[in-house]
Amino acid sequence: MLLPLAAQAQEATFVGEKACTTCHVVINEHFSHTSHAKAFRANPRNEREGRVCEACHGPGSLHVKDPADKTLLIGFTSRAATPIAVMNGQCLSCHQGGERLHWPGSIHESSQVACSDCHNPMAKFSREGLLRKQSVSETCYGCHQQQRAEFRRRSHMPLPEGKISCTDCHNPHGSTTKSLLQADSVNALCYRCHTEKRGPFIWEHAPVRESCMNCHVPHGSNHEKLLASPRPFLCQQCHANDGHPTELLARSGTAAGSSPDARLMARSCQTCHAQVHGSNSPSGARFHR
Amino acid sequence: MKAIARGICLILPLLANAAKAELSCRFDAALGNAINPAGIDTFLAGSDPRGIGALHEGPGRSPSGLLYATPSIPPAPSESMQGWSLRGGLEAGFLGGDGDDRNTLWREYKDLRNGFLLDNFGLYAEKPGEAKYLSFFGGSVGRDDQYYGFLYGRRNDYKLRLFLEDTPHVFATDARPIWQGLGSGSLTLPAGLTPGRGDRASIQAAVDATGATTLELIRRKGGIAFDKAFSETLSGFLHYTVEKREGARPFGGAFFFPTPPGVGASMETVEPIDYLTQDIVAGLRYADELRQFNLSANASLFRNRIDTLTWENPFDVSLGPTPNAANIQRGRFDLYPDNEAYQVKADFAQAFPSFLRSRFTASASAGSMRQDDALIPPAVNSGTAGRGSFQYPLESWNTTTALSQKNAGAAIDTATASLGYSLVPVDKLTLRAKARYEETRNHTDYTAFNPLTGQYGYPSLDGARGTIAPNENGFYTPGSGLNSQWHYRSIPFDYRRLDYGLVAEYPIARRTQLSGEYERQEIERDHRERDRTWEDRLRIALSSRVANGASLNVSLEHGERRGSEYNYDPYREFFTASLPGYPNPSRELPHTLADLRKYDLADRRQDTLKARFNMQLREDLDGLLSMRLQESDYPASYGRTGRDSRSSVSAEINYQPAPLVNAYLFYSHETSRMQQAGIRDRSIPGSSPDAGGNDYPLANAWRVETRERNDAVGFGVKVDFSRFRLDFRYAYADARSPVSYEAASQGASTLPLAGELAGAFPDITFRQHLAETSLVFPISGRLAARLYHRYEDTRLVDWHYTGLAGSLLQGSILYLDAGPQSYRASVFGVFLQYRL
Repeated sequence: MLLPLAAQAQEATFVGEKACTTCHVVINEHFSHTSHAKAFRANPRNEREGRVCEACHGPGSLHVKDPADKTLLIGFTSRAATPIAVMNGQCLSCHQGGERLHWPGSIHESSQVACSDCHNPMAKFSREGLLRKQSVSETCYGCHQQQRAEFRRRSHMPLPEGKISCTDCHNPHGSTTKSLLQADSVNALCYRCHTEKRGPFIWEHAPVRESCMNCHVPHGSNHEKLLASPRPFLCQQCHANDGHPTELLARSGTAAGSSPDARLMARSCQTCHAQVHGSNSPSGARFHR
Repeated sequence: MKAIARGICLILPLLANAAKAELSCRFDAALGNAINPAGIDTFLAGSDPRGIGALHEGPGRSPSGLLYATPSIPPAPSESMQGWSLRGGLEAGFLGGDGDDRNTLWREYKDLRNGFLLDNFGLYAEKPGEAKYLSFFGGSVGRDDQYYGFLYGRRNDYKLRLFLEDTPHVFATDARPIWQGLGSGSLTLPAGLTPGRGDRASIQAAVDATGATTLELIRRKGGIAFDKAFSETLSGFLHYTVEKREGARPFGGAFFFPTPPGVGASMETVEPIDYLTQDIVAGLRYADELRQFNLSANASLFRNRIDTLTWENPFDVSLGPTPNAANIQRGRFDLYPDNEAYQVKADFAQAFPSFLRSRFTASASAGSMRQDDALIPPAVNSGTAGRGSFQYPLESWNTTTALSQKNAGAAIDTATASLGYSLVPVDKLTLRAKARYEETRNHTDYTAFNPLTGQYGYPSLDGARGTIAPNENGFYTPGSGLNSQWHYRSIPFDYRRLDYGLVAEYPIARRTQLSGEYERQEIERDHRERDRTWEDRLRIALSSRVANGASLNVSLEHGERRGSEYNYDPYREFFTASLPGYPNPSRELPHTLADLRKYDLADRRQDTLKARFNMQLREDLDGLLSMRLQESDYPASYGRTGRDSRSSVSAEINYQPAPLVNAYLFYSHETSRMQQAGIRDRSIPGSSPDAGGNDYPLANAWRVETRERNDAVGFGVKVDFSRFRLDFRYAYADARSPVSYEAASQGASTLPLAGELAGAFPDITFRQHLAETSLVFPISGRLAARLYHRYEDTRLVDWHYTGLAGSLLQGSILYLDAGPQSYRASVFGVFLQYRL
């Protein structure tokens, strides 16, 4: 256990849970309903867990003598005099490994995010995870406000509807990928829910196989199907093959225009090239079948 | 409720004895719905007026300065049975108002239909003497967005979890598919329409006679997970999920290019969805102070219970007198094939605290995705197809004897490996080195070759293409002396990606850290326009915890992507012109514009500035400000070109003057701009692929600019009065997406530009007001009433759909609906809450 330097210097000792709850009555009421309290009190794994409060906050004898001195106990809020590395070290002393194996060196750690920026184990706000807010997404929105706006767009992942959460795709504790993905690649992640697109197919669409994000944006879009830009212009950024992909499609080609054109209306290119993610039909080289 | 609890207590010991196998896995994280996205117990007593109970004035804050919320009043311990203490409750009532509104966007991912609603329930039991616990909870019972969770375990020992969740996805509520057999693999035309011979009047009559149909699917997923702690350091898990997706969604279908009308035909059909996916993952985790490892293996099986979609063609795909057009009666899709995926994965970390406080990490994975479906015949129709001297019998193509192989035999193997090492060589300086390698190996090898006829390719569009366009049947006949360029071999796209870099972190002041990072990404690709691309990225970042709980994070990143020589046509070997004896391959049309650069491979320079500032404005008020600016330059002249700009700024304040009062206000603004350019070709065989050449003259050049502007604002108030609790939230989103274009001349388009070489589409706009109100009135210690209201006002204008309302038949194109529509809907709920 990492103790504050002051506590180390003065050799603090453990005082027991009852000493803590004598003063911290209300917080103990809330804490008692959390999984930490229940585990530590009912079935502690070791002597440290059996100390309950002092398992995380360190030995409290000095704090009992001088509660105003924040350097004499490990705290986890902005009022604490505890360095973030010490706070996180306390949590990781039990919770290291597993989903948090790549925490050291992760972008959140490098940005000095504390465990208690996202978690509040002193009360039960969320159903699982002892989060600071009621849900994963509300917790993440605390810093990632832009994503809240993205999820409210015309097409979006069903996160506001409670069917998906940030942690279905991201591991906030660190991963081997740059965007903290829960899988080895963007496609491996997307295939978890969109398993039908995993294929492989006998006719592949190169940008699809390499990354779904070549055409889609992950959170929300002003265009259908989470597309990055409107069809057919999205497709025309790569396709200038002879014939109908190459020309400029203008306003007159909409259904309200003078020359309605299939490439501009409704599903646009995908009305004909319906199997755009790849085809397994012997006649599907152009994704028509 | 007592009887149920008694029953649960009786079966719990049985469950405990049964749970001896060691399973564990990750759970699906979100169980909730639109009314209750967090999936919490709404029947809990209100916020605790004492706050969390910290012995200081004012609300607590996280180390970054974010306000902590006020927890609910802790539930009082209740009934005890055989050592189990119980608590729980439920909320149930009725919804009314516009819940039955059929609007697609209103119903897209939620079920707020009028009627009875068991909004949420929860039953929680604890047996502290044995450290056992049980939870059973759920919401929206019996509805399309229902969810349930069950948890049973012993603290620090084992945990058994089950879940079931439904997610609706409504695609259209006013679709008018003229076919019969929706949801099946066979779509047939109604009486009055003969396949392959329809005329416009008959088709329109069929559309008029078709009532509104809802196209949707329900994703139902359930799972069981078991976690077991073998010791303080070793745990294991086993997770199994099964997911069923059932329904139908809009799809496509074509019999040649439908413009101008009467040439070919295309239509929106309906794809049947009947998917079953099973996933199983098992693993071990070890963690001690110095060493950690994770090991897992998983398998995923996807099954599509409907292999093909055959649909009858309502159109007569003629181009003048075409005797064979009547034979183009049907089309057939090979729907997503069954597939499997397997992977083993390992992570390892070792700390060396006494050696420069260093740490080593290594991760590796190996996997495979496979699919070996039986292939369908290349054509579904019978009779003669083609025109004039290029006619051919479809009977040579409509059986599996026309295939070069009977099964797909498709497989892609994947592998990743990453290494990391960090150390503190001198006081406070941290250095990190990392490298990550990822590769795919595509083993798929399919050749479209008909052993019956010796031809390479396939009858395009079930015979329609060649029937309309002479010598465009879709296949090449060796020895015929005729050019016929077709894609006939599968392309095994592969890549090998290597990322490596160095990071240095140094605290330049108390609670302030400066970091610098260099990263390089190298990608080798097979069968793409560039064999290699590489990108160098430099990043500097500052992270500071300033006084009074404020925090600042700023980063600036610069990236330069380059690559090997760009080959505009790397696909030659997969096209028939590469076959021995192919006549005059140089007389083919250029594959594409040689000057176009595909943006995922193109040279690019990118700068990204990010900043985030959290500040404590007052003890009860915090503010958050974040921004992101990204500029990407694409030097290519065609494809994505010029400067691609994206910028966003967001602000939020949270106000918590008392434990029972909370308010917030947020605003986000984002803009983006992207440009692209192209040249309309003249389809001249054997000509140069270069811009300015005969086939791609500069007079036919065009440019398009796509912009977006998004604004979102919202606020919320939560107040606990003694007689009622109020929770009100409002959010407004306003999005505008203009698309403008300019052409060098009318030659850039076959569509009339009406003398205006510069123009724009009507903006795609999306505006939504969303307001949600909840009023809870305590009636007694266990009973409360809740009034709920949800209001949505959504306005959508999308030029893709403008003009389709009432005109689903556009020449030779048949649509299902006029797209998602604007709506205004208001739902009221009256609920009773009961707490055990």
